[in-house]
Amino acid sequence: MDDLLLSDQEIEKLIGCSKRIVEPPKKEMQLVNGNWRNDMKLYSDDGEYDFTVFMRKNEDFEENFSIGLIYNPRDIRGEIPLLRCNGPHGPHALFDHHDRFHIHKANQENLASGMRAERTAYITKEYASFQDALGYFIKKCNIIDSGKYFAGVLQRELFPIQETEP
Amino acid sequence: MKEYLDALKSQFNERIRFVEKRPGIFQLIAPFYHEDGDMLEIYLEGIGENGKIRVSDHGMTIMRLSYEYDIDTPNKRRIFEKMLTENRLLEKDGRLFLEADLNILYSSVLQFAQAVAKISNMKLYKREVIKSLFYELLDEFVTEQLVQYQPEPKVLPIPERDDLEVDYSFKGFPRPLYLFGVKDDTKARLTTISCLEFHRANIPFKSVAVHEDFEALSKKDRKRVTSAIDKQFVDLDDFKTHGEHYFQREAA
Repeated sequence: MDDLLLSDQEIEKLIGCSKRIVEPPKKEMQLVNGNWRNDMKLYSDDGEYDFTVFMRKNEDFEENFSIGLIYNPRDIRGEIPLLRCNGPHGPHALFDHHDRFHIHKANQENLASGMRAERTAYITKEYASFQDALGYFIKKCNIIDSGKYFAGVLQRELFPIQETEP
Repeated sequence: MKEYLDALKSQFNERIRFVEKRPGIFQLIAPFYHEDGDMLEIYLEGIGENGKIRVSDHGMTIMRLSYEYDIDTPNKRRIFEKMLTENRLLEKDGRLFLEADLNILYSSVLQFAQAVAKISNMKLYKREVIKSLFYELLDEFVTEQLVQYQPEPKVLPIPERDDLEVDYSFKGFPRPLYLFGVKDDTKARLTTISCLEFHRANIPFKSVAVHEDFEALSKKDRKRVTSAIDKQFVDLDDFKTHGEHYFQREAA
């Protein structure tokens, strides 16, 4: 789905660049089709890039959640999922362990080979719940004005752990 | 329940296992994967005393789909429901499921996995099929909302030139109103050429173009079609919002 090719450095830059919220999330997550959901739109602080963020949590199994950053190029149709913080919803093709929190991240190789950009995933110990994951995601994506909409989310670091991404 | 799970495991050549997600709800751990490498979420649970097993996704398919695609229009809903029907799946509050007897549990799980994979790929329609749905959506609007102007599809104003086709011709105007649906540069060029040829043949008409996305056309094609066409709507929403009023004014 991704016609735009990005290098790993560009992907890192897009994920880590300072971002502001241009279309804020709803105050409360909405229950739609068996899933709690919220969304917001971001743009980079330099005004160059547009992003959307989705937040989803399954109604039946709240550990089945996903919070994702999608890059919306302005000059090319389509979108590229850059990062997704997931709960332990089941094994992944690359690591057959049940019940692991994991993060999907886009990389150059997947994009170039025409696969899902964020097909690569790695197990994480950065969070242990949806709220934790949201805090991690906000920091990772450098959303600088998130405090207005996610009060309290960033104050939850009981056990800070250094990220160990392969 | 154990009898069902053991039977299914045997039918899968012992290559699957189960994890009890919640009391009485077992997640199937099997090599069925989404394109991002995540496993398809398939859960099995008993449903009372009729001896059937429910195979369900507990809402995960639509949740995953919603990361990039929502079933938020009648057409998308229609396609979604067609997929459900064709695969004999049911849906309640976003949860997809089917109910199976023990003797068909194996094939039912395979069928469920196939259907989930298919529905998960509805997002591809965002770029590909929805583009082709443009003409379908245009047709729906024309035949439902503009019927009083007697739309005639696929009209050949110059009978010997079957390469110059008008998508719809409408009556009730001082001159026939020719409407062209334009979804890309190629159609924009054909529309431009058609209008110029109709003028050359001294055919009285007024032309309207409804674009899928005017801004997506190349600059040169935007210029050419703007020069040749009497009235343009920049996209289908624009046409749906202002098209009827324009027709009324032209017919007055």
